[in-house]
Amino acid sequence: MYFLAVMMTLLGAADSLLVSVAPARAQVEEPAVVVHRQPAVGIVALRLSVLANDPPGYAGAGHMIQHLLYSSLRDRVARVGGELQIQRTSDAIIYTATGPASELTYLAEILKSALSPKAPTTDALLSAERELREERLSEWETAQGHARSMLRAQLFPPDVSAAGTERSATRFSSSALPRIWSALYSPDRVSVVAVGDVHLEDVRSAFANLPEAASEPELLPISRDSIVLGSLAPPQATRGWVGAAYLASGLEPAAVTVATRLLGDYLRRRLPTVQVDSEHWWTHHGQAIALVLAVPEPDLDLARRALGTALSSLLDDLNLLDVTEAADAIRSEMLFYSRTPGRMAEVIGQFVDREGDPNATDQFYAALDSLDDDDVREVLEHAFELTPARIEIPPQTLHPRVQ
Amino acid sequence: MKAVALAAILLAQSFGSDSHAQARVGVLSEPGTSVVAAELLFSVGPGDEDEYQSGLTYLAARSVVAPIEPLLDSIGAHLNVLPEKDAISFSLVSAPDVWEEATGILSTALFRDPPDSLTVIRERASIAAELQGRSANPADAATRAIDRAFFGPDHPWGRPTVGTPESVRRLQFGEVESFLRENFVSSRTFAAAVGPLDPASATAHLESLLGSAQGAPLDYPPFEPAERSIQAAYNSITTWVTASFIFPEDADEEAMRFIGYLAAAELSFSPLQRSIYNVESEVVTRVGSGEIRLQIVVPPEESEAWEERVAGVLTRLLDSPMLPDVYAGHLRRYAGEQLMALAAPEDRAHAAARRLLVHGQVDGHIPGLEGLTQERVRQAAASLATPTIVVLGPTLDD
Repeated sequence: MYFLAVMMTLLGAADSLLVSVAPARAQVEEPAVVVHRQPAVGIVALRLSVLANDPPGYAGAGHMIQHLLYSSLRDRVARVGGELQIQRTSDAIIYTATGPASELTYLAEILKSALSPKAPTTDALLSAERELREERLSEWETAQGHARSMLRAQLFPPDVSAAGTERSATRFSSSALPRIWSALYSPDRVSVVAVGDVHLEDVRSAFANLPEAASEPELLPISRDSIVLGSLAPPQATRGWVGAAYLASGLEPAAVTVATRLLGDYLRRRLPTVQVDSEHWWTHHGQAIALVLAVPEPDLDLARRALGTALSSLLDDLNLLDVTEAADAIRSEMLFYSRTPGRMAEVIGQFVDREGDPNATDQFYAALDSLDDDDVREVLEHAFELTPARIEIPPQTLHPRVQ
Repeated sequence: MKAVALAAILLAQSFGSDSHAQARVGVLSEPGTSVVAAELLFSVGPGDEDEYQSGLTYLAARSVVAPIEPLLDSIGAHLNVLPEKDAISFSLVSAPDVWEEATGILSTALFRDPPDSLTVIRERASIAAELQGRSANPADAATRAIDRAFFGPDHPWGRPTVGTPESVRRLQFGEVESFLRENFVSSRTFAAAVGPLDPASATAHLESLLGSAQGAPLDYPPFEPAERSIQAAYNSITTWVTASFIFPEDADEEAMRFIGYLAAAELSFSPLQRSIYNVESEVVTRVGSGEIRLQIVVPPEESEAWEERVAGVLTRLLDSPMLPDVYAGHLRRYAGEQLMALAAPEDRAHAAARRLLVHGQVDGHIPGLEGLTQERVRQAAASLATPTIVVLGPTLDD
């Protein structure tokens, strides 16, 4: 669950401030390819990612292009019984096709076609705009998404929603999108992770000859974005929501993950009536520990106090046994989560996108095994010195209508 | 011709157990898979319950494993209980270094630990609440109705597999205790495991869990499908049309699976069939026989027309041969979907355990489809008897 949270909460997207993503490989025309051979069944999961921030002023453009392509790609993959997923993380624009390994070349061609999107029709554009708007609204309207967005905006201002902003959405015309894509794409930003009954040479060969980058990316008329940091509308909340997030950039990621898990366990023990989510946010923007509590109204004071003292209380009781057990549990959850080719490709791919190192997943897994309580103590003490980002959403008060 | 086919099915059902040289343990070694999925499958189900005890198998299974869930959780093992008509399965997914410990904990609970009354009471309340919550679900109602029609109202498989809220609430601790002692025994157990395993040592471990008892004969009572259309009034805004085709144990299983796929494709949404909401197909093989089950969801005012379409779906497949490239396209997609259905190791372990139960052996996951010609499929389709159909939805009076 914790590892899943680590993986699945890294879904915020880069917007448009001038931030570089994980470094592209200089002057490389072929994609970086990582293969995890899993010959159990004749399936392969192919995860193609393009490391990219949306250009300044065009937040959400990468995800918009994904929406425009999605139904066509999905239908083509379905012709061989496969499945397609799109994902926009803070690090990359991602397409994952899972299907028969014997269809490797066919599936690779479909994914490669996503790298040269055509100018959309007006119908398709309107439909994709509506889908993106729904994503934006759902993130703001519900307390769960709202709390995370507000914490993320305080810690990582450039890391705004994958769905962009109201303002940037007005700039996605059918003529602008090809120019935006030319600013996002070049072959050296592409990584491919393949998991399944395939060999490295075959995957390399299937993904050779990627579309070329635009020789001279066209200048876009807007060069800055405006990001609304405040609430657009009151979120829906029947419980109170209290959250705190601590920057943890530069610290050992495995230790941050374990510290996050231990903080979550501690808060659950202290607050049995409260829903506790503890998440390790880890993108190219940096790392953070996020704690989000959904609290019944009578317990709000108690929850605020517990959240405020969680770091110091955990520091007081920290011991090697708890650290080792937490690390073992996370390793076990990593294995369980990545038991299908699609999930394994997702896990390996997120590490590759972030670190640019094909062995990053193995290194993280090994680091968990060698952690001791001093490593975790360092993380907690670091966080203790910081002023955390905070969010609080009061529960809605329902008044019966007077006739 | 069809009467002969049905007679053959009934004969096979009656004497199905005699025709098996039954292996009870299967291991598939899968380097590269991150976990081990193991399944203990018991040939126990509604056929072992008395009429008034519907749901006893499932309650017994849940009660016996509930106390070990925290222990399994502590070593990162995930347990799931899957009830079916002819068997109940315990599926365990765990890290390779703890799978033997996890299966050991499970087998001890199943074969040695007596249930405790508090757990039985808690699980009984929990199952009854789950079933109560699903009682208004038309999908469940459609399944109950087709089971009753296909297997017969007096056949144990015609009853709901996990019982009803009322039947479960009636079950007593003593019934659970004696049911476990009599039926959850190693002689009725099949064990399968997939993952990064050494086949010899994994087989030895699973055999040690089962002990030295000989496999008990599989004894499932025969049934006779209604083979006609049955209307069932139900207060919903959609109509559910379900058809079941029986096929004999020695039928061309792969062709039958492909027929299920083709029938669903024929009935699915298209520019000419825009009113259909959902189509599903399932092919189940059991000892003695198998079943192709199709289910569609349509607007109530079109239910008669859709009932005819479902009844005639095989005739249309037989009457109009496909162009070779169209057929090849279907086969290509079907092959991919078959593989995708086995993407998770627990699904592969379950398929292996089912093959042990039904075929007495595990011989890999996916049968070859190379020889699945259009002629072979047509021959298999022609051997199918008239389907049993249930139309469940609002009537004109509603």
